[in-house]
Amino acid sequence: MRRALILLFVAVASLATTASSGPAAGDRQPDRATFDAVVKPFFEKNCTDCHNDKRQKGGMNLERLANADAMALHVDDVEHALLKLRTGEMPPEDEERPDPKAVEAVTRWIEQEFARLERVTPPDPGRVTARRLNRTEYNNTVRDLFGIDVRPADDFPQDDAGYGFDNIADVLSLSPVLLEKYMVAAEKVVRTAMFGYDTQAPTLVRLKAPTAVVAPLRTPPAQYDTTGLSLPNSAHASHRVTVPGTYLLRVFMNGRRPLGSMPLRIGVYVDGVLSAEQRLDPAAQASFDDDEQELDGKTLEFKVPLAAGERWIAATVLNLFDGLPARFSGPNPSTHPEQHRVSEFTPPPRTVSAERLAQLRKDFEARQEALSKAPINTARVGRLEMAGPFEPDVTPSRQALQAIYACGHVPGAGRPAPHQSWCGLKNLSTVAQRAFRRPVAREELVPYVAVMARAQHNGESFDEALAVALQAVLVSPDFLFRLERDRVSPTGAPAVPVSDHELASRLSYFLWSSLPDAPLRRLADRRALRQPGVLEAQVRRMLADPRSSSLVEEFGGQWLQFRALESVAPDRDKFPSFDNYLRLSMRNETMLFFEHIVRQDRSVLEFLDAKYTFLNERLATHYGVGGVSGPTFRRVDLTGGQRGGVLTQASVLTVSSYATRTSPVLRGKWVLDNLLDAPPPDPPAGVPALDESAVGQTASLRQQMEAHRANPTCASCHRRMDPLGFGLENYDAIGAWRAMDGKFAIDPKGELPDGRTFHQPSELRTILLQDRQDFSRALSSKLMTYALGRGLERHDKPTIRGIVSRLPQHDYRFSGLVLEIVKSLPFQMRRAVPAGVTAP
Amino acid sequence: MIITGSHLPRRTFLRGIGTAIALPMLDAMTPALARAVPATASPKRLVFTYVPNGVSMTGWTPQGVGANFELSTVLKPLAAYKDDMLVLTGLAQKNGTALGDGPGDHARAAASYLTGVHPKKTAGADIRNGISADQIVAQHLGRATRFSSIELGCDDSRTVGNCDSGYSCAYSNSLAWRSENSPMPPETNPRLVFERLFGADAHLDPAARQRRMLHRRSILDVVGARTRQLSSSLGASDRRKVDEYLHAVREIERQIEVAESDVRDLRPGIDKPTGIPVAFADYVKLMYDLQVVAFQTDLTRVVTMMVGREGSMRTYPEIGVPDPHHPLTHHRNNKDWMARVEQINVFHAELFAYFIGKMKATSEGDSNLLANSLVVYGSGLSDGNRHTHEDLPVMVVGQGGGLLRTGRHVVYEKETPMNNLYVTLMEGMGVPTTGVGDSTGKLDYLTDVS
Repeated sequence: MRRALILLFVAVASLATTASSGPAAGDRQPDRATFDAVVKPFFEKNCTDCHNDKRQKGGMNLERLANADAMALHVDDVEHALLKLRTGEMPPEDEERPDPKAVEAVTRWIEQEFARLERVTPPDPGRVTARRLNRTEYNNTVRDLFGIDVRPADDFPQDDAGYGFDNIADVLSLSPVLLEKYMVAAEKVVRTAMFGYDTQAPTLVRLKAPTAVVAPLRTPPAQYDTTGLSLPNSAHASHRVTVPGTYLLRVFMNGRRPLGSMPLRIGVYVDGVLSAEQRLDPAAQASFDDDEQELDGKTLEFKVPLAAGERWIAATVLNLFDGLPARFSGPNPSTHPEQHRVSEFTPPPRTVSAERLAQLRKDFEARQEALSKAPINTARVGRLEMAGPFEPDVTPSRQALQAIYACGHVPGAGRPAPHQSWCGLKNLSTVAQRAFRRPVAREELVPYVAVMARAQHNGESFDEALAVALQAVLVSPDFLFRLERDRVSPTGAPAVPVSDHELASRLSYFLWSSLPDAPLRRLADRRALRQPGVLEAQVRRMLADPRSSSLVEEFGGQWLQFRALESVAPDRDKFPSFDNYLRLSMRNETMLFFEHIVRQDRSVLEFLDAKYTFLNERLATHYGVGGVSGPTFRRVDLTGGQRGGVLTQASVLTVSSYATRTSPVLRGKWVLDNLLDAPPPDPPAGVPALDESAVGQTASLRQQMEAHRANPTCASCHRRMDPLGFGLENYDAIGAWRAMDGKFAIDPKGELPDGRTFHQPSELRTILLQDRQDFSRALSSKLMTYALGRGLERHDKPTIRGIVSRLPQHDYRFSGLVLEIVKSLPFQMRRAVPAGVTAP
Repeated sequence: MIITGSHLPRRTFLRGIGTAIALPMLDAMTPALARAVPATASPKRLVFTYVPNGVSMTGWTPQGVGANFELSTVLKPLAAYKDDMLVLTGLAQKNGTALGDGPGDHARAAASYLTGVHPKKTAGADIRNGISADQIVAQHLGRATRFSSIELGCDDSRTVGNCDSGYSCAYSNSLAWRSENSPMPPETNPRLVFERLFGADAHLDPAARQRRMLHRRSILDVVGARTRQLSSSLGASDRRKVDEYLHAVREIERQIEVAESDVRDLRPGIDKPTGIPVAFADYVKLMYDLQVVAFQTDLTRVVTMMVGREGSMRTYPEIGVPDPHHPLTHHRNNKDWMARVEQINVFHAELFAYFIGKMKATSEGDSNLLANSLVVYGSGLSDGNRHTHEDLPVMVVGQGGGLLRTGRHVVYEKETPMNNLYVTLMEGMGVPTTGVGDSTGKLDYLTDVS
């Protein structure tokens, strides 16, 4: 089998070089002789018993391939068959194995035929439909247009996704609801830019901050997190602030404190930095329990200034074990006098029966027993509410005003000269050129100028009238859609290059999910974008720019699916330690990791395996990695450990599990879908039960799933999926390492259909690295889909193959991959329209 | 209620009373209603409430047929409204089945539920479904109200990755389709629903509000003209996208016209929500409250709500079910899992009972809102385990202004098209129709007992 694989690799490698050349003389006809002598008999012997006209098992009919020319008509089917042959899934395990030499010959013929078909097909860059800005693109575009981050698109309905991404042209629709919202958003953006934030009454919201279970302790630990951030006694929330200003954070407390303790110190952290602190002294209010201070229902209010953007808010108990009564021997014991609880039983003043007395004494002793066992660490933050903004900064941003008043008469500081007659047109023209991402002719601006004039005629000031016209610009289809002109090719070629402005727009929305900035725009204006070296320089500049974080969030969040962390809800009983802080930390790790690969231009193979990652104390504790303290994320060396690469990051491990348990099938599918470009087909209906309650009790998950292998129909796909998932079983459903699953030891061994085996997760990673061609193809295909905004078709295969073959020349660097995509046929060109069709 | 040709302008009423009350349809004030609505009653409302991933049919199907039927476990929460409901057994949505397209039953279930059409299997390119029944009604009756229809949803999470087996997420995310290419994605934030209904600029003085309206018209004129110009020079698939935009422009212009002639001082009667409530029950109830308010103020007469998108993975720890919904419905006959699915179904029914209760308690003329409405509750799948599209769980609550004879369990011949129900409802609402999807005519036994 190994030899077959090596030969296959050779065949593919030779194809990569031959595929790039044009059609040769012998290309017009398929190799009929070999088909009749080798391929057809092979199908008849090994395939068509099941895959024929009548039976069509799995929906596959290979009987249709009666001759070599039939291949061209059923390319998808043959490709499917080829994949199954190469991985050894077909013929099924229980059938006679075909001679490896014959398999080799057949696969070689098919691949050569594919290559021939590609050579004789003219290059096709495909066609992207008019592409509506999605929510992120809208937010970023208005942010970069005016320099204010209002994020109105957060109120838009969700964008539908296709091919795994939410920026696919054909899928993005525009309902009347959405247009209503565009109009409201345009008002909000323009008015905030020109006149400052709208003063509205502060609103009160409850923050989404699920908390973890506090395991009760009766003695103070030797060491603990004094900031309280990684303790389950805290509450964390991620809150998006659209209007910067002062906010009121209301913290609700729960739990108890031993009587005689010093006041609690509650701290509020914003983005990991202590922002405010207050004391809570429950003794100040009367409490009812003999020996404890009741905290339930007590609230504290903090005034915190918050900047615009996504803020991480945390409320914690600082130095949780400080200030306890001396008898607990904790750090910094309480200076309050020991309050003696009643430690001796006193009989009641009235005479009671002996029985009753005995009962009362017993109750008393039971009570003392319970109190002596009372935990000391239950004081915790329960709930967070946020009200605001108070005292928002309502002056319009200087940057925004300068963006709008290109005429130079910027209102505000000093007394600007009054507007001239050309000011309206000048301002509109400047904003429109940037908003529409292309030069805008004067005639095109006439209607917008008319809107302004009409408003002024109705009594509006120059500024108010300008605002209305600018709103029209932001609602115009030229703004909301990325439109590209259809062109005729002067030479009659099937493809034409997109214009420099269109290319600049494609580039900026690919790397920044936003419009081109001034340098990029100027290059497009001068038609210099395609000059030698210019494109490379721009790509590198743009990847280094902070705005490339959109690649991490948008592409990364959907490719690696860590966006799903927003909505995972691990079972609290099974995973009591999962709280918002862990969720946010997991997400942060993968984002920082991806960002590192982008900004430091690392090899993309590091996604598969890397000897480092980024952790804070919370996540490090979760992973069992020592020596990391504090809430800040920092790079951590992983050499010698089991983890490395995205597959062992908690984010991926969590989104590929169920709320109550792991699923090797889900994880195996995740790997096949996202890392190996080999998505398995869906299961057939009527699959028998998995006894979930038995898992870990009477049978390990692995044993239960042996049923997959027992049934040959199931095995054909599960032989690929299950081993990959089982190789990761040491990581539970929230990504922590475990050696046991209930009563059973985890057995991470696995064997792939081609015979390769592994005994631990790190060996699995090595195997995946061996399959780097598959990984490169997977990543290139997904990144290309994201960049183009359409699914890949058959005619894109030569492009992807070419990219994959050239990646080693770039040392697999991320910038290399991006450059390959940017320079590729579908990114640079469009299908030409036939002559005679007028262009707009 | 008698509709006269002349009517008192509502301003007269408002000037007299300055209190914040929602305005019911009072006799002297009712203008001659649009031709499509029958002139003998309050306007009829049409509601579709959708629950995902099928329903435990053993828990749903009532015992007994006709007027003497026993409420099943899932339907028990609606016991107080037994006389107002029509439980229908045996309806099917044939075009939700594979028909040779392989897996993807969740996408197909949602897409075919109100359209009766077999959606095109595509992960993105060239989405094609059909026009949904609620939108046919909305297009006919919607001219009378500010919003021709409202689409709501209670799944506020973002979809990540692929949705269902080669089908774009567009199919499982929306119930309503304006045309065969244009889904109407639901609104999931109660605050935004409120703002849409009652205006985000409610805090402005009337003069400022008027000016804003004027500006919006001016903007729509410009962008509408530009779009028409653009559309004529684009290729077919581009034009389709841009035409969605044009339709939206026309719809908003219509809304502004209706809003301008509607001089009522609308008071919602509920506080403006601040966002999405943390507890799911609170969230869903709030969305139901907003529907009632929208009907009371006659801002719309057609509403669809997806309690969850098809394939929903929501967990329900608050009722003791921490498992995600969709995988749970693939119970493969495990008794414990089936019991949990039923718990979820009961929970959804309890929340729906809250809605029906509110509708019934809202008086209208000499009747109530429920009596004037047709509320369809159900799912596009029956057995979530095997993904069956027949014997669907469906009930209609409310009489639709005397149209339906409620208080019965009706059993139909297997594979009777669900779309026949829509035809009956649509005709009952005064909307002429040549059929929906694979409908074969009206559904018997709804409007009379024989």
